[in-house]
Amino acid sequence: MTTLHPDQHAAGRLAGLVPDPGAPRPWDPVTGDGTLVDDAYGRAPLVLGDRSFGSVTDTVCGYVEKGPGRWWMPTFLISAHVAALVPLMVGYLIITGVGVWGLNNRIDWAWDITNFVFWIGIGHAGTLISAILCLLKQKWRTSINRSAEAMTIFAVICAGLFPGIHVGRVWMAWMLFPIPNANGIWPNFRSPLLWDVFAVSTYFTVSALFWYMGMIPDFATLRDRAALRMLQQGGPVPWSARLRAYAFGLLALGWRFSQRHWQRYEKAYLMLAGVSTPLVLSVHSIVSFDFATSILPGWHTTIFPPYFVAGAIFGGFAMVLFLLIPSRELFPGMKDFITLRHLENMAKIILVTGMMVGFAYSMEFFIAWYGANRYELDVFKNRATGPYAWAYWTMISCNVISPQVFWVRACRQSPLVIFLVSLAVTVGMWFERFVIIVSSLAQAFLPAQWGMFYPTPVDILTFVGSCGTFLTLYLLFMRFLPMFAMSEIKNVMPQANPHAGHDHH
Amino acid sequence: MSQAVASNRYDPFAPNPAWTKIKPADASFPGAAGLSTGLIGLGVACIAVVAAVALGMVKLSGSESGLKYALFSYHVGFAVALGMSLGSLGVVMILNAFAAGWSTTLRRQFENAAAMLPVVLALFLPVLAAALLAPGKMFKWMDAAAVAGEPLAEHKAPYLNINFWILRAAIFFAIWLFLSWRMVGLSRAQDESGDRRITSRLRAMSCWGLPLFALSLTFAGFDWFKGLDYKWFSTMFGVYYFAGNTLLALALIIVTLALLRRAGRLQGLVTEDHFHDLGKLLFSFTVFWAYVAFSQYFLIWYANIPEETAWYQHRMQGGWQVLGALMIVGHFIGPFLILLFRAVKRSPTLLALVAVWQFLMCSADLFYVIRPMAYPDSSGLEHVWLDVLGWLGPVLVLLGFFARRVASNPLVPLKDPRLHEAMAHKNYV
Repeated sequence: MTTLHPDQHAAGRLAGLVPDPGAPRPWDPVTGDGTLVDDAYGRAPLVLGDRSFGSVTDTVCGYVEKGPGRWWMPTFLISAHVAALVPLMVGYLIITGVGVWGLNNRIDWAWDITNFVFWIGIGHAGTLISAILCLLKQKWRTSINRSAEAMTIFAVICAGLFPGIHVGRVWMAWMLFPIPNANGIWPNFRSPLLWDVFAVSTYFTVSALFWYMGMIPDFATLRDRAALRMLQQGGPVPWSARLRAYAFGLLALGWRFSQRHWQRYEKAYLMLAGVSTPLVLSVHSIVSFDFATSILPGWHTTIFPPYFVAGAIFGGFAMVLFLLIPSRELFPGMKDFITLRHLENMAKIILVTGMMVGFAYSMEFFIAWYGANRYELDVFKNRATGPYAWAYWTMISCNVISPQVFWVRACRQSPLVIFLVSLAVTVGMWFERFVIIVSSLAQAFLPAQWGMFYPTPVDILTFVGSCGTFLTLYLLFMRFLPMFAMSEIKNVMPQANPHAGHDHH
Repeated sequence: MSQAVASNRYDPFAPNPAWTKIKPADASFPGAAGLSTGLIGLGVACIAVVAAVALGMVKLSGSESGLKYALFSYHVGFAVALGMSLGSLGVVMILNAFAAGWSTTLRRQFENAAAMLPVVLALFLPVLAAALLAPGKMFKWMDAAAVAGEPLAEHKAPYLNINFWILRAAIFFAIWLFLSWRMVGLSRAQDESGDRRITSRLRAMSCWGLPLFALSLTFAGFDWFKGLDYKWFSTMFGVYYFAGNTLLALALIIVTLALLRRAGRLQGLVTEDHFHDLGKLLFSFTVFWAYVAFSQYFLIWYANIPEETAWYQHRMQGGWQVLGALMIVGHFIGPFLILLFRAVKRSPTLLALVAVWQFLMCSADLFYVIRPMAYPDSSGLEHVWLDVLGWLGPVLVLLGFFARRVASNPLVPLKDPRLHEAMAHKNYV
């Protein structure tokens, strides 16, 4: 087995010392694909396969130009059909009324708001991953930021569905906005539910801008390649090729790769990252205020804002891994960009944020006792031992216990284990919101009012439909948009360093 | 990268060319020793005066209990000293856990501050003595007679009892002393051997140490500061306490590094770019502190449940509200606006000034948490000089020992494998 370090390999190839760039990479028992280097002196390479800048462009653009492969269309068709449940169920809900859900007088928030917080949490993670890791100068983010941002947009779209339809009379939902009206009725500006409307819509706008702006140079590359292909082919140009070149040209907003463009782009990108970071924190904190400003035991506790933010990062990283691990198997060459080191880093973040969430769970429990509020304590006792104990323990095992496997090196380096844990965390984070919302409402102050919540098929199918919507949008993203920020990936390759391969300082 | 290093990549003792670039002046700095003795002497003198008041040797005019006043003023100083040291331990572990390269040349000063935890333990002894000899003077729940029949105190007795309180303090200090001893000791050992595996060991230890650190810090905050008012509770308090401590640590280290640079040391090792990033950290923890403090206040205000609001209600009258306003304007808005400027962050002098200011604000924040428990209104502030001495005493003692440690150790890790990354650190954008 070779002891040649991957960095050295790449540097050697640049210097013309390693002759065969196309040779398959040797699998090293210690460093895996070559990135699991534990030596403090060096840093693991972020892009494998001795790639040149050109080959990065070819591969990333190839996903869009050649299409992802045969698996895509069947997957897309299935998820699109599942997504079609949303208009069906929502249409039925609007025609019939919210009685088609399992809500009752006691539990007047259940799956609707659980789904909202679940999706908005995933939605918050994407921009947080991208922006915070950018501010922290974590170079490995370049491989995951685009997908994470895309995931954000789609998750916020799914989240936006639920508050709108849970109000009962959907045709009055416009009153969420402070629009002057003949009745002189205004929303309650002192309610966090209203702040949510502003916060989430601001967040969606900024996230979409952040995502789109990052893609502009890549759109320009795709445009130029599409135009070049038309020229090279000669003869009659098919309409699809024209459409492609025109569409990417439109999206690229006249980007010409000039020095001035890049300079402004980088400045704008940094500023957007700086704006997005506090925005994400404040938006998810406001979501937590929806609960924590109330006096309901189990909802009112001061740690909610940072606890919700940690939970969002936790659930979001799990969703990113859940999407990326299959992707890197399905797309040829993707393992060069998303290496084992990338997966390990994300597994570590899952472990850290999982423990933050666990810390918050235990603080809540401790203070429920220490605070000596008997209602608070009973809510927590009921959570752990009452009728919703199964949900509570699902949450604890998925969110607190399952990530602990990442203390073991072999587990956090195995894509399969990471995939399974990320699945568990995604489930656990849904249950966390369910536990917070439903178990607190089900057993509040008066035992005479206690009751259970049972979801109806409409509840379940609306949620399943939102999962289908999310997946459909993500599949469309995979098919039609550049999945990696090409310029940023090139920036972290050894060639971008003027000192690569020699010792001039 | 030199070929010699590359071919020896798996040799844990292979030298890093960056090591040779450290000037002898940065390998030791004996000049601070005189400063150290002066600071310690001054600090001990301050503590002696506070002790004289506590023991009744100096009578306070007008006030009925000099002991209570003295204990509370000393407690603020202890809290600040603990915060600087404990916060630094947290930063050291976070930097190690992140495998941070840019901060290699800064880490030694954080380690020096973390190594002050034995001093903090000594500074804790008066608090312990007060708990044993004059129970209930500071922590009301410790006085069994005073809280007899008090339902909240009885409910919390399994946690808030003197034996368990002492046991917990012992556990906290055991965790902190062990972690700081290993983190600092291993880093010093690497100065001699240059063994790269030490960096990996430090990283692993930081990873399991941080959860222990988080829990011990939280409960120490509960026990020593939140516990001053046994009726009050807040799940956020641990996070609030962490944010304040980290700010204290950053402020201390920024000032230290700026002074060292002024003395002509650390040239080429700690550059404007490092101050820029330290400034960003100071900025982000200022914002984080404000976020946590606001969320805690806001949620309690909004829900308006009496057993929670009492703590803030107490601080919103009788003159204490001035301190509350100072927290908003002086601890957050002012530094926030100033630290937005790139020029401030990149200037060691300006950044150090902001850091001194934040140090004062963090002290005022701890004062805000601790002192209003002693007296219902700011008429309890009739002997401000005693508060100043109580604050200065522990802080000066800690700073004195810290200066001695800075003087007796290399100013940067001499053989850290990531030294070259810190030396090449740049903020391009």
